[in-house]
Amino acid sequence: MKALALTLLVATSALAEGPTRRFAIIVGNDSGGEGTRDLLYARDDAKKLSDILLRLGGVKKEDAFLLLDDSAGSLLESLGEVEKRATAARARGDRTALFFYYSGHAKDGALRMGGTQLPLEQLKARLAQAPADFRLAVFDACRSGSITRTKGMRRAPAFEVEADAQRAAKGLVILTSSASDEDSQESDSIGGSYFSHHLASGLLGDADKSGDGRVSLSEAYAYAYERTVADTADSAAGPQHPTFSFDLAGNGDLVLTDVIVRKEGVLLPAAAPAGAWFLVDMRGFVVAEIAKQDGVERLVALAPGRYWVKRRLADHLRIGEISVAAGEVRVLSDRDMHSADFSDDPVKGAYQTMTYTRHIGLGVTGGYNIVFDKPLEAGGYFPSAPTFGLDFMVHNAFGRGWSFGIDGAFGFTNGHLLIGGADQIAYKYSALVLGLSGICEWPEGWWVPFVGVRLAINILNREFPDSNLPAQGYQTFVPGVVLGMKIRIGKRWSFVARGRLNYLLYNVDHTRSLGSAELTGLINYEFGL
Amino acid sequence: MRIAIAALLVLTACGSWSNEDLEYLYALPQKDTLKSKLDGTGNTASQGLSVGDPSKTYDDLKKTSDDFNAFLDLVLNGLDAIRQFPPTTRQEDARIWGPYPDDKHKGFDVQVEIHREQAGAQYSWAIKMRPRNGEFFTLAGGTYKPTKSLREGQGTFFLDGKADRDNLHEGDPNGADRADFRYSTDTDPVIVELDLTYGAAVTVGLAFNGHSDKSAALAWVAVNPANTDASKVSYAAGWTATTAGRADLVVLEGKYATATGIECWDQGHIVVYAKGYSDAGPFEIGNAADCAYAAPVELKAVP
Repeated sequence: MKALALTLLVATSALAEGPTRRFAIIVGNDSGGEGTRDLLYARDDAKKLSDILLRLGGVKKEDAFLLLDDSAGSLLESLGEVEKRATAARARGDRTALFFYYSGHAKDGALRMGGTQLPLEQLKARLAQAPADFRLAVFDACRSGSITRTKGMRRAPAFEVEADAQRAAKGLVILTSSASDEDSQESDSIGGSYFSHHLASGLLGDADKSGDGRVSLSEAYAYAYERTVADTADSAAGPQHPTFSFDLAGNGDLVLTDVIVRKEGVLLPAAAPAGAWFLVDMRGFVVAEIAKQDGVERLVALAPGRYWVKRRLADHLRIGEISVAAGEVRVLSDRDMHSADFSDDPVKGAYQTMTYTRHIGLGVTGGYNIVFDKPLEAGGYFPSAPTFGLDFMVHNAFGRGWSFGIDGAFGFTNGHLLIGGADQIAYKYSALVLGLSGICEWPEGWWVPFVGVRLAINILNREFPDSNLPAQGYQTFVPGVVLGMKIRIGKRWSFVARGRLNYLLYNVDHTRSLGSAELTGLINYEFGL
Repeated sequence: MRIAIAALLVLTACGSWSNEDLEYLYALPQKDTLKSKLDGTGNTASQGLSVGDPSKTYDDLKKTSDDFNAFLDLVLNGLDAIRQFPPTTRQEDARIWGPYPDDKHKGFDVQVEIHREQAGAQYSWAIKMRPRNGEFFTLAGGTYKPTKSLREGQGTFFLDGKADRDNLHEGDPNGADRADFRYSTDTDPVIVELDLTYGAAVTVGLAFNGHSDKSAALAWVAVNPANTDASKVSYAAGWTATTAGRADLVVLEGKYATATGIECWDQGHIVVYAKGYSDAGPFEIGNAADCAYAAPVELKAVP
């Protein structure tokens, strides 16, 4: 631990020197392209950091660039825009700071952003020359420590704070989530990477060791380092050691977040029990993890919303549900919580893993297909009919939320058909429908909306009891759109209400563009690959 | 892209799903509707004419009914094939099946056409044949006017026996040159009339009435030059749903020309009453009250 008493030369707030125009480029890429396995939480980590910087970090919305599953080109484009704005700000005499955050894959000396790559050396050189007084780059990627080994930067084995430093720091600081030979690990139980999770928890207030309501770079890093190493020490992949390096002039520390400025969040009073407190959002994600110490008050600057509060004791949980209103500091006490079994843990854990990883869904469907045409009794061509079928879906097949499915259904009905303006003849109708769908889902939570496109082949048949009339058939491809909602009724079971809107081309007697709508209910079971 | 998708959909959309095809098919005469429905078998062993004997007249009636149905089959079987397949060509007012190679007549093609005329007020159809790569000739054809509905109307059709013999070299050399049918299905009874033309003007008629209550009537002329007593006889027979019936005959040619006769039979086709002439003079056997019909059966003609 002593080895991690990091030294960064300074302590007073950079903000103390006057207003600082802050820019942020936040990048989250789950996909690293060929040769990499998709990450689960890189985008979520990026969104979390972006939200914190916007609410607490002094970054204005117009100066924040959030890139999710984007390309290296977009990143460089955003960096160029920031450079332009920073140059203009400096020309006006403003002090400027740039916060760069990347969560995603890094391999063979390059950031892997989907199908594109950005060499780390190129990015580092660009950041080193960026026209911002202070630049902080955070890389949460496997073996990201390699960027701090390169020349021009000094590793910081220790970090010493000078409380009376007066001169603001200028230059580049780089934080990485792991050393050059280590993997950066994600955790299902916290719904993010260890490093980003602890960095975020620290920025929300838990890293405020000095108790001044502000989280400085040194506090945030020290906190994230300590917690990341502790959490990963016993992991299968081995301990993960974040790194810190800098190329600075001046001796001022940088305040990253001001947790008291908004006067909202959760306050753990000094009397609250010591230990780990988890603040969990309604989706089951851990928003902040607080290492509460005896006799120390801690303010966590949560965004307004509803949260679960959880403490994990030896043989049971303590759980409470709280609501944080805008501009409200919710004082939390143990009386707000009740005891619960471990099975009631609001953190979804492994369940989230299946939510975001590739897995199979099998469903039994029942529905009704409505054809937008005259009824057959009035001279229409295709009847509306009930359908029954099976659905097979590969969830997250092409990345988080991008799924494809194969479905089959059989429909049938009987009725009478008007021909010649006066004759009603009996018919028996049947339809076999085979479809292929591409679906975009929003899998978080118990209610999962989805939209998509579908191409089906309809194989239709009708027979007539009158032996003088032949059976008739029709086959056509039917494109359509899909809209629906999955309602989870268990960790693996769900009910799905789905609507499809289809285009149906008829071209035998005449060419007619018909439509159809399918309203379907599914009982769905999901399991991992 | 949109054009490509539209083209793909058009090219892949196919089938026989047609309401209008059904309309065209209903314009064709339907055998089941037109056929004489007389159950049971003929009394081939019948000889004498006494009450209690099997009815010889019923035997003749049954044979004539079967011949009539066979003749309908001969003409209309050719249409059954097209009911199994979608048309080869759909035009705004026509459906065409073929030309297909004719399995029964090697080297010939067959084509069936149905035309809608007068905005659906009338349909005409034809079975045409041709030697491969030759000119079509019409083997059979007809017209139909739906009146009450598509399935209820009036029509005609014919079989050109001479064309059959001349072109396809089949059929009885002494058979009819032409068979002409008239029918109405918009009436109760369903009425079918058949004229067979031999040579220049020799016409033999047959008429059938089939009632919705399953009673029916058949009128025909029997020609048997070997029977000098009655070489040509006109029959008018009627039967109930149980097949008990009555036949009235008039000898048109022969020794007993102008003579008339009556024969009635029960549902077992046993003679219950007869009246007529024999070499011994007029005779009457049984009780006329036992006849299924008290009066001669009168057949209705196609309107």
